[in-house]
Amino acid sequence: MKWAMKARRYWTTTIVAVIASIVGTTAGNFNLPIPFLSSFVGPSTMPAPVVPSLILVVVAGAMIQSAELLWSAASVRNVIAHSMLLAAGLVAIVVVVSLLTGLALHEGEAAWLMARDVLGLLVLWSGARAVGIKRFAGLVPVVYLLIASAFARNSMGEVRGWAWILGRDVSDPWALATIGIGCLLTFLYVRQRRSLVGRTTRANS
Amino acid sequence: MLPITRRPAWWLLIPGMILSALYIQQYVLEERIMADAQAAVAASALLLIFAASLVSVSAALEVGRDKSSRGMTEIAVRSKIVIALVRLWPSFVAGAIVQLVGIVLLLVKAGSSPNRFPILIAVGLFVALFFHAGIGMFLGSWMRARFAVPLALAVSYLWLGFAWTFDFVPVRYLAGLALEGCCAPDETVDAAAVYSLMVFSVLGFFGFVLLAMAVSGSRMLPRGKANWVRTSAGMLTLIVASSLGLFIARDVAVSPVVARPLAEAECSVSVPEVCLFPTQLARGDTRQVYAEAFEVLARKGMPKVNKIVSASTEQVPVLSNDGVANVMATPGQSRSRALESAASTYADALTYIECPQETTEDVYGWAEVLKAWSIRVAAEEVLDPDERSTLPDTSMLESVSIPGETNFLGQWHKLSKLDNKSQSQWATAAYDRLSNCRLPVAVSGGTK
Repeated sequence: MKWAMKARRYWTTTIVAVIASIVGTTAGNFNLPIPFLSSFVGPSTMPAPVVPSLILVVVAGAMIQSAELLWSAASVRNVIAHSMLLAAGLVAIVVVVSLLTGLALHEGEAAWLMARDVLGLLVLWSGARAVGIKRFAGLVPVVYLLIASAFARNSMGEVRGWAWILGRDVSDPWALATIGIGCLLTFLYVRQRRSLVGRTTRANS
Repeated sequence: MLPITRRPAWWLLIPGMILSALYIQQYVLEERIMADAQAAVAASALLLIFAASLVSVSAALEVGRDKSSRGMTEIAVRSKIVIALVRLWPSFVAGAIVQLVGIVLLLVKAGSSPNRFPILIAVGLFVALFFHAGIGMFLGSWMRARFAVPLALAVSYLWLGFAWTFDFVPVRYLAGLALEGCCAPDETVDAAAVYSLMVFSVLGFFGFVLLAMAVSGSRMLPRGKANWVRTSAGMLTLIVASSLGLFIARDVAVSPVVARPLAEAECSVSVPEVCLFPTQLARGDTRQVYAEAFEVLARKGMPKVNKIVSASTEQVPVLSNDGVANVMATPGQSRSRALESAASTYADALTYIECPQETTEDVYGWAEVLKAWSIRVAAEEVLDPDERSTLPDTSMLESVSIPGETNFLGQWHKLSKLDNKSQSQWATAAYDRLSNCRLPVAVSGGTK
């Protein structure tokens, strides 16, 4: 257990999670302009917690994957389950720290928004791993944000549903669907210990 | 030389081009760049999000691969800058191709243009890619690929996206995206904005190469005196790059444009003389409509105009005392839009007059009544009946009415019922009073 956590640099990840949660919740009510959409179809913004959430997910994803070495696929232990447990623990830390910060600042909504963003982006990372994007699964949340901030608006100037990361609605059905499907894929991935697409049984290199 | 299949830049090239094409198809309005090569190339600055992402990600992958394939005891014979060029040229070329494809598509969308191809803007946007290659190279040298690649993309994205938000305007030009604010037909690019981007990007690239040299070992922090010197030199180069870039862009406005010299305008031989820029004339010559509209309004008693131009209001006021009118002419403008632009001039000029706070709302409302009258009177004599049907209706007067005080739509209806002579008398008197911040006398009932 201790090795499983140390190999994933749990202290570093925890510190990054705590800092990101505090920063994200504190800045929760700010909106950051997105230039890629603003010039032609009116101003567009994204909630500020997206940025610390993204950095946390990229760092945490890479830290967690660092422990999954070639030989670990043959281990009697379910190494992928260990990784996902640590990811779940990170989400728990983010929820607790964000809520505490939210309580202190009277920003309850910002705290839940931060938690939604971290969870949503984290399941994009784990879902990507489940479907076979292994080494660079951390790219998927960044690419999602990039695509969302370039193509989110339809011709009427409204934000498209799939770009939920640009909205503030914590109970957005698209966000809930993303989280639900991501959790399901992650569960199947943990059960099978190999990606759902392709035949390789090799762990990440 | 590595085979093409081993270069990530080539793999990312096709998605980059597809995203650029989709973006242009979906978000770049044809009217904004019509007949204007400069505006079309400047609009491609928004495509940096795809080109720069490609460059930074592929650079991080290439350098990470170079780092991981190096033996522990291997001594680097080639300098880092040579390695950078050998490793990164496909990233530059692929990023430049994405940008170039975007420029070509935008030029096609803009159609033929009397402007020359703006080489400076295009070169500036290509050079901007160096900075992102530097980001990828540094992160790829410093961290393992699974950290470096997503972070390179995130850092490139954040830099492009949020440099835009700085209130201190010169910072915006360091990222290059702000160039898309160039240019209306009566404007040209402010070269300082492009030079700022180029200087910052090239020097920034060298700064990142120096930093990459210092951290290419297996540790997070540089080891040895030489590496600390390289780190310091890299940081210093980045500071110099930022300072120089900011210094060059210190006088650039919120939009990276300067007014086009009026000497470039082509003037008609009509009375009044109408001078429009070649871009404004590229999709149809509406100078006759402008001349006739002002001539009709002068006959009705409005101040006489001797010359009509279409320039920025900072360069030429909307209506000057020596009879120069500044109208809004765009390429592809229809005859009815041209007439609307001409006839609105008197009312628009009133909104630039600084009146006491308590009268501002009323002045605006009466100016709208005057505008509606000017457009209708000019249209009746200049446009055909089918052209008149495309003019805006007067329902917006209801929205400018002040509840409980002045009903401007009602005033317009009363004015319309007067005979032509009384209408002209009221309009000219109203214009005189409004020009002096005095409210006009309300229209009294009457019949034609």
